[in-house]
Amino acid sequence: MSAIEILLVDDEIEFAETLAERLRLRSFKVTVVSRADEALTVLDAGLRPDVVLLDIKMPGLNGLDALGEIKLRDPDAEAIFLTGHSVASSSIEGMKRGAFDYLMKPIDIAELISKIEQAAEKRKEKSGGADGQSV
Amino acid sequence: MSSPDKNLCQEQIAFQGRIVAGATHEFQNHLAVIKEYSGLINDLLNGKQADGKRVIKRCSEITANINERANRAAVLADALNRFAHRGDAAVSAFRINDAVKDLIVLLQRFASQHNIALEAKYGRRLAEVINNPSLLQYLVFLLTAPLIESLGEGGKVTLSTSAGKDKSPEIEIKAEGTTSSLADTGPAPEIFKECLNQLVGNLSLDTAKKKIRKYTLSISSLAETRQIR
Repeated sequence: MSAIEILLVDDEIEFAETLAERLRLRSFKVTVVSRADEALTVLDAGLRPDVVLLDIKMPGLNGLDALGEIKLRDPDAEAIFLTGHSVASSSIEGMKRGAFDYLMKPIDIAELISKIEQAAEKRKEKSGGADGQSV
Repeated sequence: MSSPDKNLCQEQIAFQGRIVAGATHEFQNHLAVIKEYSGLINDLLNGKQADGKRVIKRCSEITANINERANRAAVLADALNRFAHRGDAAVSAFRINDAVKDLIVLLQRFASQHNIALEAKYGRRLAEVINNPSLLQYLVFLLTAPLIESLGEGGKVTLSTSAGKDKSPEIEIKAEGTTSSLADTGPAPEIFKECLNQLVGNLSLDTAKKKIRKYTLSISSLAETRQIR
């Protein structure tokens, strides 16, 4: 099985880059962007990540609205929200809009990896075959 | 408590809640970053990296970053602590520059969320004033927040302090950039009026220059006679 590909979208760039480094040490393939519009640009350029990790509160397009735009480009996309909000309402709203799950920051890496693997598996099933290939 | 006083009190509580929510969100961010750095050090030390020197170099960089993050969190904690204590007494002696500095720290994330630069210019040798610092911070917030929200990305808001005529302190709040119309979500005009009344202050708005909106707020340096009822 090829490495799970992740698109990490978070305006807290130090957090995103450090988390990406940790995920890469665990053999995930990670692309980091700091704004939702940059995420849409890389998707428009053809990137099809297995999982999108998405901050909710960002300058410009917020994570909740970004999820809708991502789903328009890639209906099978699976997103996990990473949020610093202690109030769960935004995260619940994210679930209503089709997110796979959400995690509160600071995150637990083992829990995140478990959710990433579950989300990637779900995407694979939706796409209808191994490694996201149609059969 | 009279009705304008009661409304003002409720608005101030809401403002304080907003500041606390913003600051604690920022603490979560600092902690999240520190936790990831700590996890990364652990990953590197327990990993199968062949190049020990590289690991040491990277760990050294990470510890410097942790130190910097902890310092930023400490600055925020200090500002939040002083902000909370400003309300200990209705009237107290304080420096305008200190009240503005704390507000700048506490509003920094709010500004960066809108991609707005929030800066301050501090006047020199401003005397201590006796007034209501908590109410002053609230009024400055009331004037500043809608400017941040209505400015287009890349705009700038500058808070400048100075001594005005008769040496009473002044705060100029200047927004530069493309503005949409100010959102009409702020408190009622009587709240502004009550703030100015209690601070023994004056407020003027200058929109003469295109793409610049400027408030000038002056308050009394000795407002205790109006404050104590």
